[in-house]
Amino acid sequence: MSAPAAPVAARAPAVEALAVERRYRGGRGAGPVDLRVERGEVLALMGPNGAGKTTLLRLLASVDRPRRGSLRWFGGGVEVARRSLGLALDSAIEEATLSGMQASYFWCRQWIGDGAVARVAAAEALRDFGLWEVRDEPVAAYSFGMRRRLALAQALAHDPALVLLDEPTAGLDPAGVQALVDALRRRGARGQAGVVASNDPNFTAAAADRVAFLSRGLLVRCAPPAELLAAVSSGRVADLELSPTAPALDPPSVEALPGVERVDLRPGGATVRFRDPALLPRIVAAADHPGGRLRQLRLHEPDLADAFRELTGEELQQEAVR
Amino acid sequence: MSVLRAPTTAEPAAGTRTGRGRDRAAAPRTARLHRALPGGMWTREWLLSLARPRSVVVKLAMPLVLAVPLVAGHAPTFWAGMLLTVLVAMVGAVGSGVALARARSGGLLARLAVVPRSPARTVGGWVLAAAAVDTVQMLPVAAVVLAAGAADPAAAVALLLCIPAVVLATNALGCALSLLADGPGEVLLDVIVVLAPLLFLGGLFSGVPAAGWRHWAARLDPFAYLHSGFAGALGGSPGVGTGEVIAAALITAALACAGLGLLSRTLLERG
Repeated sequence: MSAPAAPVAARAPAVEALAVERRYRGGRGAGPVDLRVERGEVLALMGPNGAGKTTLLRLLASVDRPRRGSLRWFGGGVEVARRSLGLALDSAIEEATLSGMQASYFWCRQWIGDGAVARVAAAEALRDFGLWEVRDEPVAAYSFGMRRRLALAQALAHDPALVLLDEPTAGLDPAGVQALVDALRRRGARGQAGVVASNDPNFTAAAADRVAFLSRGLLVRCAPPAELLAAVSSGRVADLELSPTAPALDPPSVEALPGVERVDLRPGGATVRFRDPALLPRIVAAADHPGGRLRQLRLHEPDLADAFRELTGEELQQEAVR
Repeated sequence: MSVLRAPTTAEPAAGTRTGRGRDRAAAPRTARLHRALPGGMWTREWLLSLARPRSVVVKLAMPLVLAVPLVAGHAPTFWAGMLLTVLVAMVGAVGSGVALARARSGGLLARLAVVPRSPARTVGGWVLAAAAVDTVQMLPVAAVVLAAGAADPAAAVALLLCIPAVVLATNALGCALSLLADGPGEVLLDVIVVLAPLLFLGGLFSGVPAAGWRHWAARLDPFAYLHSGFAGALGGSPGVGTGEVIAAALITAALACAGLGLLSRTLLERG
């Protein structure tokens, strides 16, 4: 397949943002932010709703222009960006009455001039995302997850040098998430870059080389997943789902237990980080008092959502089931 | 624009085809359409328009439901021409306006804004195809009018040129109005608010005065010429000559294309 990108400066990063800023009324938006994504690198943007992930992604995609600051793609301007980009937004696919193959081919042809090459590229992308069997069915007949897969196939089919994906795992089943991780990894090995806005900690840990934590439109921390996880690498995490009708959990009552490192309340529950697994029954007892308050408990190793909480004090809203 | 065939058995799936039953069920009517591959906005728009047979039938029947009673009932040519002109204007402006507003809210325009094709080519292909579809929708009406009115060939040519020109202009107007609207629902209101004065200035509601500013406003208004074209084709007395209708059609189409070219970048980048 012929890659449509035409990087102008061989050593320039895939995308570089210098003090870019775009704020809306009420202060929402993003910036000023400095960001650099190297060739072959996948950067994940994580942050709660309103943190500026989508705003920043749209700036990096040249969909919106920054009010301040500047952006360079492969050392060049917007024209270079548009030859090099693949984009999947979190919005619905418009081509409901087209077939999956038609919709995929259409977007391929926007970058690939040769119809036969575009046809093969579109077919490969549909196969990669498990849509080949339903390629001739109208998109309207696709499930939500299949439409999400199609959006990803459309963004990646023309083999762009830089792909930007907004909430790519929303609605995807585990096989779809794995297909996306594999695709991003394969692309990275070929020197192609990616930026994904996602609050799915397992996906970002698997797919990203670096993770940028955003809060209130600002870049709070940007580092490899392992480095961010080091902040919370010890111990285990219990996600508690509590009855909304029962009295709220009193964090000090749990924090008082020896070995409990941190308790964070969130709507509908709490997250408890602790070191000693033997402590779990006592945590459960404290969370369930008064009886019946605890509705569900999920035990896991600390992940990037926990790291985000640790480093920013904010809770991530996740778009996908972990 | 070339329409290619999608791969079928020549490029088999890596896995087995477990969806054969569904393939068969989906195959009959629209299988051929679903295999024509759109390389650009022109083909895409046609495929989207033709994909639902029921929608095609309704689109073709809707103008006829209005036109046939008008013609069969021997409605006064002035009023029949007015109604048909309003119909043409609404079909073009609402169709494109709503489609673009929906595309904007759905993120389609944002995606189209970042492709390495000129905005004029993208928007132009889209709107020209939409206007062509709308023109096809209005052709049965033109046929009914021309058959009933026994118009002379020049009047027929004038009408057949003026319909696509006004359809193209109103499609361009709909695109422009979609920039002002917050959503598809608002576009409909905006179209009415803008079209009504233009139709009035074209003399559709009360005729064109012989002098004064309204006379000159009507001379610049493409709806006046379409109205005249319909009235002439129906056997009435047209307000302007056939040659003027043809010239107005050509100028309107050229101005609509130029306007679209100027608007195209804004249309996409506001996505």
